[in-house]
Amino acid sequence: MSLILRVQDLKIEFNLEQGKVAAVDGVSFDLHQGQILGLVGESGCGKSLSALALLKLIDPPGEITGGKALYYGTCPQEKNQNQSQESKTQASPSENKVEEKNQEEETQEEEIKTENQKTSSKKGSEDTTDLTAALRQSQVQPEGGVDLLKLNEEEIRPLRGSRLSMIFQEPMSALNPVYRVGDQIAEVFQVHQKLNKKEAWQKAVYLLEKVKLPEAKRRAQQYPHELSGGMRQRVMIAMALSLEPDILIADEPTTALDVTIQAQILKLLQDLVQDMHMSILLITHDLGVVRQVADQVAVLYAGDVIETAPTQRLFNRPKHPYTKGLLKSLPELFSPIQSKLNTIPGQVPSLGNWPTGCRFATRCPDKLAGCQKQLPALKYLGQGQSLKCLNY
Amino acid sequence: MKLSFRNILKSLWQRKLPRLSLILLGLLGLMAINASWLASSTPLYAVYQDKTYFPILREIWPLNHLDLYPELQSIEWNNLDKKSLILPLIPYSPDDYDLDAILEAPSLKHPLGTDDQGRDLLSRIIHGSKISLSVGFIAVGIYVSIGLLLGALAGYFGGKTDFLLSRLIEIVICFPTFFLILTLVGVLERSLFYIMLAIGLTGWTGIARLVRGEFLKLKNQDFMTAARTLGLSDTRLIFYHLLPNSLAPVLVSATFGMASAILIESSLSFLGFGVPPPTPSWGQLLSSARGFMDMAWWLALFPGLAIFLSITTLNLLGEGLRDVLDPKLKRV
Repeated sequence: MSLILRVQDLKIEFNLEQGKVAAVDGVSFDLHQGQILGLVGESGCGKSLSALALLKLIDPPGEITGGKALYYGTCPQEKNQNQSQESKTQASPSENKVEEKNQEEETQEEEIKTENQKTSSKKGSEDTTDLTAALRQSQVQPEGGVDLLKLNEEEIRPLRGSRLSMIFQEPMSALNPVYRVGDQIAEVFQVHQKLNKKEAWQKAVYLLEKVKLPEAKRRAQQYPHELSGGMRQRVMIAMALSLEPDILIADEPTTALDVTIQAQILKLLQDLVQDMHMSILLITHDLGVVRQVADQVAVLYAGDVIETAPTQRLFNRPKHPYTKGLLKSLPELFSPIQSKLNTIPGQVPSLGNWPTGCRFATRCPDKLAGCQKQLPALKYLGQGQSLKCLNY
Repeated sequence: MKLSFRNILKSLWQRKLPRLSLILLGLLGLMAINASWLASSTPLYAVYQDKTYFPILREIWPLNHLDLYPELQSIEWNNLDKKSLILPLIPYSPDDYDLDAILEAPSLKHPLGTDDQGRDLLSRIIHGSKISLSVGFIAVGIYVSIGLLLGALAGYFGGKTDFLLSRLIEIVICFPTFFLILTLVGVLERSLFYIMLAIGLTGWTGIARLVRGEFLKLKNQDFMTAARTLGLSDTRLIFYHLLPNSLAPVLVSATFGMASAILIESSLSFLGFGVPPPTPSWGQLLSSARGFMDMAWWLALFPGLAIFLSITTLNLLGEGLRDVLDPKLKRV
């Protein structure tokens, strides 16, 4: 599986009256193609903020002050190359020409070093001229890939929706109440691909069918308030998928839905990952959801990723004391009726009052002497598991 | 329920007073639009020297610029045989004086009486409605456009833009509109255009504040973030996503604004600073009635009634709109 997004030491600060207050500090994670990465944490630990930062949608007083978000997605050049390679194998008379063309593209290819060799050229006749410009202008990082955080507004706008898109927790408020849902999806095509109204509408209906909205044709004509929560979430997903992005950020996509609908939506997301070779960044505080669908989990605490591991491993062998505490505090079906739920003592430190050193140290049962002196460095334990804790 | 124009009209129609005001306003509008062939001494249809003509076409805008039937230019229609003509419903032009019928009380011939030069009052009121309504629509049109634009910019971009625009609003709000127009008209010339422009250029502050407030409220909602994650431009977000969501209060405010613009124009004309004569306007009719209060009550009553009715109608419509659009005030 190839890497598609690598976030390193993301730092987001808020300029408040009492000075700069960090809300996210040190978030790092890798997202691979075709994978669902669960980003788990309590409210206010910086999950959604990290996600919005990837799209550069942090509004003042918030500010991204550090870190990198390297995106290794398909570049337009690469796509052309794939196509010409295909034609090379078929056509022989024009081979020379194709080869010349190929070489040109290879030099371009070297300019933008993408380790990602994507074979499926999934994006169709999409208008990528803006995108090409945006990716060329931006500095390509020594590690390869494009640093999303360094792009300016003009450069990142064409990437929004087409390469990275997002769905939200509250599907009611995330749809514009004055337009029919079909119009809202069609708008994306009209803006990004310059389709006319009719074509865009047809594509919108097709997408609604794809996310298994019953009676898609009729539903497209309806306004958001005429649909149920689950249907609205499907519409949101259709909208986010409209340009076939590489990465879908799902910010608590099922929190506002009841459990049966939740299961349906999660199933839909899993199917889409398989169909479209997409990667999902699943933000949630629901460990059950993560266990059900995620391939990899990153646990956040107070603006920092403290442990990352493949899902099975994280649930079977949690290492970080916080992760352990979290898993212990899950209610169990067969526990004695009168028994109390386990809790982690103490409270999450409020913004601006983070302790020095490990931020969990004040509540940690396995605290060591050095814990409150400095932040533990990231340690790799093998098997894809890594954490920040002095105990290991 | 979805707030489309059709739905708003529908729920207005279901209420008694708003329905009445819609009907009245519709009639008033029809009267203003059709004034030139409702009340005129030019025949609708005429047979003249064995040829048929539609002489009224010479007077209906925009055909009046074409100079149709040049041979009819100097004809005195009154002298022709009435049998060969079809005259409009009120066969008097607003400026046709008739010295044999000075200050006549309402009668079948002159339903609302005549003024001191024998001009038919009904005809003058009908033609006056053109002035009043066009002041209402155009002045409000100007200030709604300015208000929407500036309010949207202030609300959407915030920060320095918002600071500057808000101070501008505070400055403009201090201008006394009425005296500004008096000054303008005094310095420049008496014209309808300046009146509309002055009302338009000073009246936008209320709308701008409304829109700014709505934008501030809406711009942090999820659907805006969602729209931004789809890579839409600022212009598109403002005009396609935010504006339609904040139009409801603007509509109410514009309706009330129209009433007050009509009132301002009438007051100006009453003071003699309005539309220059001979164009009749309601305020001017009232003003010229002052001298004949004791012998010709109809001269003051009917123009006053016209002003009163149109203002009340617009205010009732505004109230109705507010009820329809604001769910908190909605009666069950």
